[in-house]
Parts: sequence; C-alpha cells; structure tokens
Amino acid sequence: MSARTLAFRICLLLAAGSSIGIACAAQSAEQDVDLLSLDLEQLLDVEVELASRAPQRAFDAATAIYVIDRSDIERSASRQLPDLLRQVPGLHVGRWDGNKWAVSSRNALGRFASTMLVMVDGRHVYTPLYGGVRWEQLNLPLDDVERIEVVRGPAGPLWGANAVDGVVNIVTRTGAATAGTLVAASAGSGSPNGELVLRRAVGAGDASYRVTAHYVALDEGVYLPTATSTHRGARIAGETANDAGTARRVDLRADWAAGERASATLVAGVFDADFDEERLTGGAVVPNAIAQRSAYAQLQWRRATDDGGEWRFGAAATRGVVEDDIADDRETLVDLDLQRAGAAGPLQLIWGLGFRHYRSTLRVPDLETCRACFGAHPERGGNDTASGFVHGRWQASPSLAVVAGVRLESSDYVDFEWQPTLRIVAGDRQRTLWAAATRALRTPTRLDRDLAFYRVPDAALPAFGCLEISGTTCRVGDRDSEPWEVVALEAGFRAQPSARFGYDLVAFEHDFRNTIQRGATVGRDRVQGVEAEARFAPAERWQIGIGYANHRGRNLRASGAIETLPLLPRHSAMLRSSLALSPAWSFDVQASHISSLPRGAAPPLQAQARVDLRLAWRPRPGLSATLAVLDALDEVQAEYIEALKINSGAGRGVQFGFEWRFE
Amino acid sequence: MAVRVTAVLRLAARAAFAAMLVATPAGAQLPRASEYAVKAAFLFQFTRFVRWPEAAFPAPDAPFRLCVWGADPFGSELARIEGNRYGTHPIQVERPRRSDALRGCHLVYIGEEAPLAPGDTVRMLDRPGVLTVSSEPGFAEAGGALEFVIRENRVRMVINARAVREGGLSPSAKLLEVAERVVDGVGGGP
Repeated sequence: MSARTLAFRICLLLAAGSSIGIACAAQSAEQDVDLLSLDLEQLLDVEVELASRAPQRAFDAATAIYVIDRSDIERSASRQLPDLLRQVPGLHVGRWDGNKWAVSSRNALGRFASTMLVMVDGRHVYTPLYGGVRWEQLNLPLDDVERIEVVRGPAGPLWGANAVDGVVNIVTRTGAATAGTLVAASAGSGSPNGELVLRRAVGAGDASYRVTAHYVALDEGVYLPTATSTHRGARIAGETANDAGTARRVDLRADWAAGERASATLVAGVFDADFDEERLTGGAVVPNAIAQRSAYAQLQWRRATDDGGEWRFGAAATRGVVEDDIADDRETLVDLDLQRAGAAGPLQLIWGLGFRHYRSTLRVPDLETCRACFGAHPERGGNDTASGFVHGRWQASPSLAVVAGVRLESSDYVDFEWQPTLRIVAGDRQRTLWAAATRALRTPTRLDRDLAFYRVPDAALPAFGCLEISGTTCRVGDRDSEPWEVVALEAGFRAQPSARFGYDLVAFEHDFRNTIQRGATVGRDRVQGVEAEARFAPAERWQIGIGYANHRGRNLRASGAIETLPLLPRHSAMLRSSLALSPAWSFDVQASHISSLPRGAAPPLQAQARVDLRLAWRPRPGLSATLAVLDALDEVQAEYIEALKINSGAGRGVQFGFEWRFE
Repeated sequence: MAVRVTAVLRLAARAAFAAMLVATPAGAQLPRASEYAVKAAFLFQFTRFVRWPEAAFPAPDAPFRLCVWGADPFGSELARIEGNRYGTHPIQVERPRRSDALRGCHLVYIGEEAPLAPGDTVRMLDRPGVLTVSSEPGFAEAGGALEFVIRENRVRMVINARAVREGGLSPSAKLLEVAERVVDGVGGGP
C-alpha cells in the first residue's frame, strides 16, 4: 500500500465542502459595499457568512477519528510511542512486560489481537502471520513523528482487511520540518532507562531528506503478585523481572517536488532489537531471548490532475525476522498500490487497486529435541492478495453529504469478499453530525490455516484436535477458515462552539462473527459503547483535554449462551493538561483511569490509575531539558495478562531528558 | 437485529441530545459579506497597518508579494487587491506550490492542506520581512504572526506581537488595539 495519510482519504471523501486541491471559492454574498474601502474598525463590524467548509481534515469526517498532533507528542511525558495511544478514548493500551505492549480499539486487549490495522506512513506494519502488531518494533523516536491518526471502528471498505475495529497511522516528519541537526538523550529509572537520538535533516528547495539513528534501552519490570501474573508463585513479587531489551534503528526519509504537480517520497530503514522475556511451558517458567531484525523501503509518487484530484502510486517492501527459542519466523512483504482521486460529475470519487505479496518461513528451532512444538505446516507459506475499492461522495446540499463505498478483495485464502459502507454527514463549520453502517472483515491469517504442532507424542495426538496428521506432525490450522466479520453501526456528533472549546461524541455497536475453526461459528462478540472527548483552554497558556469511554463487550457462545464476563473494561477516562508556566517553562500532566476487568475464575485485572508528569525547560531556542515522572502514583499493576508469558509491572520512573538542535 | 438497532439509536439519540444542549444555536440571519471576502479585505488592511523594511524589496518598484500557501480559500477575492500598492510596490498575488517559491514573499497566508503544518511553515519562513497569516486555530500561539478567528460571526485577530517584530516588521499601535488578543508567544516547538 502506498503511503497516504488518513487525512488524505478522509478529506477527500468525508469532508463537507470541496475536495483536495480545489480552491474553495467563498460563496460571495451580495456585496453592495466595496470591502476594500472600509477601514479596520468597520471591517471588524462586518458580519460574515461562514464559508462552506473547505476540508477541515478530521473535523468533518463521518468517522470516529482522533489525531495525536505534534504538540501532543512533544508534551508527552513518556517517550514510548504506544503510551501516547493511552490518551485516545476508545483505545486500550496495556504494557505487559518490560518491552511489549498490547493495543486494541473497542476490543479486548490481546497479544494476538488481530483486528486493528496499523501503518507507518501508510505502510502496513501488522504481521500477516497472525494479524497482530509487534508494538515493540514501533517504538519510533518521537522526535520523528509528525502525528498519529487514529480511527476507531471499522474502516475495511477504505483500508482493506484487518481494519476491523480500528486504524492507527503513524506519520513521520519530513526533512524540511526537521531541518538541522538534533542530538537528544534521556536516561533515568523505570522503563525505558536510556534513549539516544541523532538526526541530520536538510531541506533545500525541491528536495529534503532526514536520517535518524535511534537507540533505546528498556529497563526490566518487576514481578507481579501471583494473583495477577502467570508465574504461579515461581517468581517473587517486587523482584526485578527478566525482561529487559534494547532496540536500534536507522530511518531515512527523502521528499522531492518534481515541478509544480508531482512529488515523491522515499522512506527506508533498518531495525534490530533484542528483547528478553519469560514464558510458561509445561508449568515451568523459562527465559526466552527474542531477536528481531527488519528492513523496509517504500516509495510513493503523487501527481495532481486538472480536475483537482490526483494520481498516487506506491510500492513498499519489508523483510522481517523474529527469532526466539520457540520459533524462527522470516517474512517478506511486497505491496503495490495505485489510486486516483478526483471529480466525476456531481461525485467526488476515489478508487484504487492494490496487490500484496506475502511469504513466510516459520521454522521450529529445536526440532530434534522439542515435544509438541509450535510451528506452521508447511514451513513455507503465504498468499497473494488483489484488491480494489471505490468510494463516492455526493454533496446533496451544502450541509449534507452521503458517502458510499465498497472494497473487494480476493486472495489465495479467501474468494471474492466485499466490504461495503454507507455514511451520512451533516453539519456546518462548527458542528458535524454523522452516522455510518459498515461491514468489515478480518481475513484468515497464515496461522489460522497452517498452525501445526511438531513431534506430538502419539498418545497426545487426539487431544490436539488435528485436522491433518503426517507422522508426528499435527496440523490444527483450518484450510477452510473463513473471514471474521464485523457489522458496525456508528453515530457521532462533534462541535467547536469556540476557538477555546470543542468536543466529540460517538456511540457505536460492533457485532462480530468469528468463524475461524472448522467452518463453525465459534462465537459472536458484541461491543457497544460511547466515547467522548473534549478539549478546552481555560487560559491562554493552558490547554486541557479530557476523554471518557464506556464499553460493554460480551461474547455470545455458539450455543446461544451469553458469556457473562465482559471482554473489556467498562470505564476508561483520560485527562491531559498542558500549561506554559513562562516562555521558558512548561508543565504537562497525562492521567488515565481504567475500571477493573473481571476474568471469571482468574483474578480480575485491578482498576488502575496512571499519572505521568513532565516539566520542560527551554532556556533558548534549540536547547531543552525535561524531567518526567512516569506512573507517579507508583501502582505496580498488571495491565494485561498473556496466558503463556510472564507479565511484569513497572512502577514509578524518573527520566531526565536533554535535546540540542543546531543548524 | 431490531434490538441492536434500537440500542444504538438510543445511544445515538442520547449523545445527540446532550450535544444539542451544549452546541451554540445558529445566529439570526443578517445581510452579510462572505467570510473570505472580509478576510481578503483584512489582508489588504495589513499592508496599511504593518510596515515592512525597505530592505525586504530588491528595488523601489519591486512587487509586494502576497502569497497563498496551501489551498486558496479566497476564490476571486484576492484579485481585487491585486494592482493596489504598498507604497511604491504594486501588490502581486501568488500561489506558490513549492516551498522554495515562498522565499521573498512579504505576506504569506497559510491555507489548509499546506504541505507543511502551519507551525513548521512558520519555522521554515523564519526570516525577516515575512508576515504570516492563517485561520488555523492556535496559529499565533504556534509562532504565527496573525491568526484570524471568528467571534459571533465577525472576523477577529489574534496577534503574536513578538513574531511580527522578530520578522523585522512594525505593527501599528492601531492594529494591536483592534486585536482580540495579543500574545507574546515564544513560538511552539523547535
């Protein structure tokens, strides 16, 4: 998939008003007076008719969108990218050991949660092996991140499979926006305990580039009490856990303008990391060392067209390796993507074609000695996917628009599958009311089809429910796996009554049908909720953001029995405050509270509060020092419990940071 | 299905009702001018109430370059300004597509969908002799010179006096007087 921002597609399709590149001519009201002849005071008295809205990015979108902008990123106490997502009402974030996070949107947290589409500059970064995201690989230096666009709810019709209950797009900064040299370092207690960023960027005329080198050392967590961990008493609560990590990366971005109409962007990079963890095997806790390496390159090309739209072409390739004691996974991904946006009669249209090639080799490292070891059969597998989408937006009246779209996808794993959406948006410059109905799919992953256990003792074979047995190899993955489906109804209202106050309300229901195993519906999940967010500025130098989400999620078993356990916490609340104490000093607070999550026979996840503080001093432009206190309340708690891994908690951390920028 | 739909409708109705309670009502309809016609007139007024250093012009008859960066919301309104003069300099309206073409602009209006965020554009334009103007909320606080805001359907301004002065420009006392707010911002970000 080519890199494009959510904003691009959302502007094009959903914004009330004209589309990209089209000058939004002010609708001239009858003007008897020559405004140019009025003086300053007279002009101040002229009442204006507000322009029908040129695309206002997120504001007019008929979807639940949240943008973490550059200023939010700069003001974050935590330098870990997944922690930034905690401010989005509707997202659930759980750091479950010293170096790993689970993130979900309107759904249960899970290491293998596979229903969210995550991208960096439009490049898919979830692994097609199981559909999940290795967030530890997305710990980009925040100095390089321009913004993070988050859509809650299904966006499959526009974005393709996996955008079932949310999309996260991380947009990196251009060389022009970061021109100069940056040296930044931070160190302290808690996680991470050290970070170093070196960046050189040049923006000149038609071209700009940036090269960033990043090193981060992640501290170990501490073991949790037996009740909220999987170690079964084999570890002592409060002691240092065995889950440190280090990650190194070099990222490059180059942008060119070719003439007035065309432009191109190249991003490329390499990543290399070592993470420790402990896992549970046969009731015993054993250490596991994970090595991850990846390299990627992506080229995008854009050309403006006469009808105010554009052509885009993108190509991306990623090669990734994840090695640990359990598996050795090597994957190759190639994405090609073409799209056209523009006007067709009364419609704003966008259509696109995509092709994705995925191959993976999943080997069992100790095949000679292991018993009932995890793997895939065959070892080499993958699929090719072709897709196409078209969306049209019809402006029925200045204040009402209808958007309809569909995406078709066909691959080696699924036949022709379609994902449609219908959206209505009404509003003016200050208010937007929208509603949407969408069907989106999570297509089967390689493990859904090829999951196998090697060297299973004969006596144990029946217990595995094998669909195919060859020797001691038992394949449990189902070649007839079908997509999971969500049908979602959503409605929202957002308003900006004044420059100092704005809010956003969303209500939704997601109905999942999971049909992965043996063609049978395994279960249905139903999640209903409301999400609210408000931003206001009580004083010129003080901005506050608050958020709240109320989620009710239940699993409905195939038998019809309703599982009484909730899938996800009922209440979550967030608060952000940014205060400029003086021109040189600023003080920021990020806080969140999540209600407890009962887990049946297992102990519940406790209700938890988190407060992060940041004090920044900028004695002169280009130089700054920060002091951050993470988890100031020092609650060492489980945020997420993964059945076969040992989770840890963090507790309070104090970080000192320093940044120096020069030409 | 029926149950689900009603549940969602109920949620939506509740949310919408709550929203309506807080939302501002649409004001009474009076004869008006279009927003961007008024803003264009303001841009013209800025050439009367801000003084540019003569060094900002290569020659006495060199044009005063009024540049729109990003999407142009003015339509034909700016054409009415063109041909007027700033001192001896004829006002010329330009719509550069590339950042290097912004060099030498005297007044830059940053519209939506500019290739860079407004704050970054301001940093990029950080050189003497440029007045930056935008309708982007928070623009003045982010280091921009002049930000248009709408109050009760009237155009108001927030002025970052420091950004204006650091640009080597002199705002008249009158301009500062009519501003809704004068910030003396340090400028956001790096």
